[in-house]
Amino acid sequence: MRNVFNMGQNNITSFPIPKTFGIVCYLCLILISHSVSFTQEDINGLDEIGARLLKKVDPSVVTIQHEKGLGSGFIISPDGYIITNGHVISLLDRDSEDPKEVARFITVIMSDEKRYRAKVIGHSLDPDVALLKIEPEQTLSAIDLGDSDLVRAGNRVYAYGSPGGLKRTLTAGILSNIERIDLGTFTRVFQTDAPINPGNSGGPLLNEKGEVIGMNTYGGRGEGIGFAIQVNVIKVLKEHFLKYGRFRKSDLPVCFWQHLDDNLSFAFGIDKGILINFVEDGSYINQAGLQTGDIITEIDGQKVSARTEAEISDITWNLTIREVGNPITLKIARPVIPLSGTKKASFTEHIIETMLLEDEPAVEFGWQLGELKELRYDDLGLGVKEITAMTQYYYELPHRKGVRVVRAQPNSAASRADIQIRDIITSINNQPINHIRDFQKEIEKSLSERMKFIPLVIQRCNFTVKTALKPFYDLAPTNKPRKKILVCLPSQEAEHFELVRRFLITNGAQYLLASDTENVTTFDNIVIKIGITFGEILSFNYDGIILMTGKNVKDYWNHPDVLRIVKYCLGNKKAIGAIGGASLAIINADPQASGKKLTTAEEYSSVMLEKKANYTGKEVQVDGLIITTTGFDNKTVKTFLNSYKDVLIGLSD
Amino acid sequence: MRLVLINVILFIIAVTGCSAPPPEQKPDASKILTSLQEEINKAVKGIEPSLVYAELSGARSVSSMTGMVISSDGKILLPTYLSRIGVTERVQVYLQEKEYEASLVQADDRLKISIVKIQTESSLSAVNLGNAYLTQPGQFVIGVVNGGKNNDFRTFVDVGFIRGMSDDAEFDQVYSLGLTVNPGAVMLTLDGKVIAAQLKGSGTSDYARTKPEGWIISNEIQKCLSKLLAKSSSEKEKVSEEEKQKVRPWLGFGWSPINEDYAEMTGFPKKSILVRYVIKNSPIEKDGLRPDDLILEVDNKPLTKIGSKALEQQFIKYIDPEVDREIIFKVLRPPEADKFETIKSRFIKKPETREFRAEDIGVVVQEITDTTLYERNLLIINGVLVNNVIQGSPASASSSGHNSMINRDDVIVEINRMAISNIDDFIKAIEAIRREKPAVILLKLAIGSRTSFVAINLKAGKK
Repeated sequence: MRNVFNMGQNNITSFPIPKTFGIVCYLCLILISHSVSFTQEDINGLDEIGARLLKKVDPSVVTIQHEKGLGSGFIISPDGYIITNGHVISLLDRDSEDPKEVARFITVIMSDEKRYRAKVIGHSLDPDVALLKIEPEQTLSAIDLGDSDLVRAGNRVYAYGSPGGLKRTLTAGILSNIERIDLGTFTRVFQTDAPINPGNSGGPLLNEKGEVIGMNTYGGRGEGIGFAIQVNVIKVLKEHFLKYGRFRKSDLPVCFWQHLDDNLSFAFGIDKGILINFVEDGSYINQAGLQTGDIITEIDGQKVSARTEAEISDITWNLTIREVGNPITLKIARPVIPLSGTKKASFTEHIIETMLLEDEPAVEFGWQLGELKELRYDDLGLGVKEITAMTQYYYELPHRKGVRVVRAQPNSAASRADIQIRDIITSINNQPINHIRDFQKEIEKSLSERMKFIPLVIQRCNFTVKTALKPFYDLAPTNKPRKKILVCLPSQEAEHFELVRRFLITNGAQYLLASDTENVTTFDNIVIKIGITFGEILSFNYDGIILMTGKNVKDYWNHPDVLRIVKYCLGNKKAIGAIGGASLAIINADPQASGKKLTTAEEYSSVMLEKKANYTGKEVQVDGLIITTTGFDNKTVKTFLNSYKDVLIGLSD
Repeated sequence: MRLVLINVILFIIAVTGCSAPPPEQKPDASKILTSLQEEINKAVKGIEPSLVYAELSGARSVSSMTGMVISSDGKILLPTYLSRIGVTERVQVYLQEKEYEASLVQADDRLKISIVKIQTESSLSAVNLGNAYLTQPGQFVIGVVNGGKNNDFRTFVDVGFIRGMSDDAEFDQVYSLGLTVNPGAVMLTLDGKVIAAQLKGSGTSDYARTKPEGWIISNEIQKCLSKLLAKSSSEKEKVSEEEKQKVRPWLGFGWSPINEDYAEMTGFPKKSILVRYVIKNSPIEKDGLRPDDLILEVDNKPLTKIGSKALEQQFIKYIDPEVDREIIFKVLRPPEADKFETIKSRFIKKPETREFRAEDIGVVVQEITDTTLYERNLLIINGVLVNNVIQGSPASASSSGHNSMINRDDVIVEINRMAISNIDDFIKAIEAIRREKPAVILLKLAIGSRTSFVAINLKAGKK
């Protein structure tokens, strides 16, 4: 169920105020004001609360740091589970293919300055919650979690965290509003005037007892305006992360619902319920019996009513967090059409019994990054995503067949073909594209065959565009031999394989996969069949090699056959590319290579220094025909691949 | 230029006698420059009576420019598109330090020029428009502009060279080096003919740029002036701006330049325009144009440019839309590479879409036609399209915070659960609302391909 387009409506009425009533009110106000005026004792009491609270929670609040940012978090279990915001540990890189990419090296700094490396158990960007785990040396002090259903606007609250990197900062204020849904978040959030600044993210919002009632998440809209996620939402997400490693949402696809405000209630002639704005014809829930214009009056025997956006947000949340596969019963009131326009409308009642399904990954919209992965071919300047039901409705697309273009870089093959963002690619090389898997299969088939022109059919709004994609094939230029690359893989958890593979086929290179076993696993748990083992490589007729990194890179950088191949390349003007720890193979193959400028993954830098290599620490280092990279993230590897391509192109044939 | 130098040299010989100068004697450079100076002075003096200074006072701003007298009876060309003169705009023209109130004769919104008229007692001296196509790169040219009130209406002069001419924009332009860009500045040759002017139709949006920008050539200006003057003499009464907006020439198809790589792949001509869609029952559909046709020629003029931008500009220039204008396309009809068709058609006035202002609710809606589907990227044809939500109306009051419940481009498909297929259904529904006076009405909107209900309290907002 979706309620993204719900708007409240206000009935404008006015009441006359009698004169005597006004005088009485005035007198009451005088009495009340005397009874709540603060004494010095009260002020001292408030100071004490703050000080006591700080002392209580300080051991439980941490600073979280990684290569791209900083935030706060709080310990929720003695064995080291920590809650923070999803955006604190996410790279939030709008340029990334995977919006769920998280920082690689997350460090948790305790109040006593002890540092631990953290592992991400699960995270979500909306609700903006993450669960980390550290392995502490001793039992930790866990913070108390309160109940956000018991709070009221006006309650005094405290925010604790590391604003601007200033660790262990306590600020105070009140809860200004507890029903904020204006931010467009999945759940309603608390608004507070306790100062919340960058660095506070992930830190606790506490009540006077020192219990967490929220997590500081959004700020910067103005002075005295900050927002926190309710602790009860955090509790739910924590359980999901532990059980599933992610937030597994339930849904009844495909429909949109909204609250029944005063005007809608009057128009439909029904007092309470939830209005179904739209049900897709033939969808799961439509087949179960739900129709556009129905009003849900009960869920599982309980009457439901949503008069405001906050109320519908709560109902949506309660449905979303139920277990996927749970049965659900809806009681529907279906208005008899035409409506009479009076209060006494007539309805038919229906019962729908169905089951909750798992929700689709969230779509990127507005400032939300969503969860859909992009399939990108950098050397075509093209990126696409699958079209889910919500994609179709948010982006007002005519249907769901094909893939949606999310990237068409200027001066690329994609822009040359006049491909535009929001286009839907419905056919490649005269093959229909129904799903992103079809797209990948057909585009890569065309690229592997080095088709000069790849015919595409695009749906743009209401008309069809036929065009042709002309890849540049930089490593297979016309009238010149195609570049041949040997790709050496460690057998376990080979990293960045997809990137390298797509790079090679888009550029028209011929490549062979080599390892010391017949099958290797990638970091994404995909099993790849290799073409040749290291030992079988007896002659070398390639233009270069790429040494990939992975879990067992240490075995690999000492492998005698790998070293033999690398040594040959060093002595025969071949391009050598090495990612991460694989750079050590260069030094091991030929100690004389220690004069070459090299880089490697940070965790292996000490090894390189021990071998007296000319370690530069740069993200990508080129020295002659040797190109090395830390392999830190996708962006770094792409820069590496472009440098590798330049070196290869520069090699004389 | 060469002629001038030859004249100078002959003059020198005549004065010094017919004996050939001794070999070691060089031509007197100062004399050549003096002669050049005299030519420049003569050209400038010749144009001065034909240049005016004009001030346009709009609702919020005042802008100034140089204008050219184009006829002895007081018609003046101004480098701006005037549409509200006498309503919110006022034009003052200063000629030989006298001030005149100008009235609009005609205006062209493509070239962004206007012809205004002032009442003078004596005949005026009109500019002499030359033939810009006869100019050469490297030729001396003079830029002249009226300095305006602050400079006692003195003339300002630049001297420069022609760098070259360009025909890849909507209007042919000449580029110079050394001439300052000013609104309405004219470019003269040394013999005093105007060969170009600084107009907005040149594609510049900022007159203040000092890099060489295009000057629209006199031939384009002359063509436009002829059309405008012909139109003004046949129009009995002044056409309002609103009416002018409605009179849009239309054929009824959508197009784009063919993608070069697609052309190469398919073997179709690269210098062609691909027809994307054809509106049902439009003139061009009745005359035989089809989607996927490739237009190769317009009025027997072949398309010659390659590359999206240049081809697009050339096509726009060729089609030159005008109501009642006949046009001929030569098209290639794929998939055959040799099947040609000649399509003869005529521009008509773009059919008006019916609009209705429902004050009761507070929306202005229009019917949805095939054209609307394409132009407004709609997915459905049944319903009425919201063009505007009237501020302060019940519809605008039906909102929460900064979000509006009804927006432009929403489609109303039901009122009180009664289907609205077209504007007549909508009008009937509004009439029913007026009779029955319900407190609240229920609308069903289509947003893309999904729907949403909105209840409007008719007592809310001001009517």
